[in-house]
Amino acid sequence: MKRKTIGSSSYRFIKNETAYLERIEVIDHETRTRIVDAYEPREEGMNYIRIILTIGAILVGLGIISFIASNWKEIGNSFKLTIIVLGVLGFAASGRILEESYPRTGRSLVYISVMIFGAGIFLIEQMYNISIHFSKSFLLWSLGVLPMAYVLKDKLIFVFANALLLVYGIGNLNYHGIEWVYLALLIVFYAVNRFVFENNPYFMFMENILAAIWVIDVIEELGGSGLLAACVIFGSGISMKYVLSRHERVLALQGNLFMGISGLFLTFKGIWTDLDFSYGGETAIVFGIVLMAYFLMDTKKGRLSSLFFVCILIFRYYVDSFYDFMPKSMFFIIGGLILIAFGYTFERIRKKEGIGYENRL
Amino acid sequence: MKIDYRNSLGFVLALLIPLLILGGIAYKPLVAKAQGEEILLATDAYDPRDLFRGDYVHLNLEISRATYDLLSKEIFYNTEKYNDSFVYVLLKIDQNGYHSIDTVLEKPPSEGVYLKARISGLRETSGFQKSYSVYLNYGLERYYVQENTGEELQYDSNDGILDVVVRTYKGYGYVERLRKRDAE
Repeated sequence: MKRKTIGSSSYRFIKNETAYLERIEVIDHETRTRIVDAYEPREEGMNYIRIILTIGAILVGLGIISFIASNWKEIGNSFKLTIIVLGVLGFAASGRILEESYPRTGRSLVYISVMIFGAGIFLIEQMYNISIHFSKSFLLWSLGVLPMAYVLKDKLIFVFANALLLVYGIGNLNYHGIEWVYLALLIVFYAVNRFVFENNPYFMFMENILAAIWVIDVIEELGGSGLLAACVIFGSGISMKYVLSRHERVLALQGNLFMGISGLFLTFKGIWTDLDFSYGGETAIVFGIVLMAYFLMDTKKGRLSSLFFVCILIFRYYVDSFYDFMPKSMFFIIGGLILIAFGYTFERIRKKEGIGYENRL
Repeated sequence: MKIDYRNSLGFVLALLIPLLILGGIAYKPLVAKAQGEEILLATDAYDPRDLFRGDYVHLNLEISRATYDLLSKEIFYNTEKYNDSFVYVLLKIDQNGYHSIDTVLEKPPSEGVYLKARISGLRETSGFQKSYSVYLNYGLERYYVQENTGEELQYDSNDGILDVVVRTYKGYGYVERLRKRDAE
């Protein structure tokens, strides 16, 4: 029998109440067991204990980094290396042991280990004056913590590893060739999400952003234009929104975001000059009008992100058209009023009844 | 609660990877320190506007620029192809004890002190058609200093009176220390 997943407090409630019903002999023991077995408690998300412990872990990690960094001339290199290695090992191992009886506190010690590992990368670079591109350090950090996220099935470490790879991806755009290591790591991220986190839509969302960064980088490295990159992202946004979202709902939102952001670039005249024709300005305006009309129609379906892009487009044309001509005070007042009007519209749409969560996105 | 040993093995393996990464970063400098040769490099005066970023001094090494006559034939005739690629810089020592460029090679030399570098830019040389000076990046351009203690080094580097002591092993080098010219 497939068990229904419910919140841990609801699960506790059912357990307590069925125990009460059994005690007053409304149900027998077997019935109680069958009722309780029909449910399983959801894995706990961020509760306040976890938040406190995580912040504590981050602070301790930062403190250790700061301590070693500020005293680095006084401490010998080999001693510093020993501190780093022992820190990574010691916190991870004690976290693991403590986890048996205090899962959350134990896990926070593992987080400290993850922080010390990252600090260790930067400190070793300092110790030996290694001048690699800063983003490479984030790649190594991401690479090093991913196995831990996999083994411990820890969402927070996995999100962190994704964020580190994002820093690497952004820092490394248009820098020394196609990033095959990045691609390989990204594939591993997708696989970990698939096999460990059962295709968590939020993780997929992050990985799709990482994938888009790689695609843009490849286009640039191969000498492709900004226009091509924007069109590819726009096209992938369309396919995510209208085709792939059948499998995963979050892709409808992400597709819309991809379309909106790349579409915004395509409303600028400069990007069209890559084409060998002299109507760049006109093409950008026509594209802008079509895009605006599309998002307006989409807004009617209650999609909040489309409304967001309508607002951005209006604001973008307002700034472009009036900044040079209007007195600055008038420009800011009208700009502010436009934003307030957008905010009001957002709120009104949100309040509307009957709009499902996925549509509001 | 019982410990799941299969999971514990995975945990140990997961912990090994960060340690391997840390060891990997430290490995080359440690080998160079233990077995490498010490060389002395001179710095040029550097534009102070970009001199001191954060907590390190940027070192403008004299060997960071190579004129076309220092390039091997292969690189000289294909300079654009080698831009952004790794090359090997064979060094020679002058009468003052400084190391300077002997030849920029496409392959590591069989003997002599050399450093691996990346060609990080080209500059067309006037007066000789289709020839380039190249900019070389060795990964030796930074020297980390303790916070708020780099001011003097900054001025020395401005004036181009800093010498860089590098420990090198099989083309790999790391900055061991800086010294003020004529201080030793």
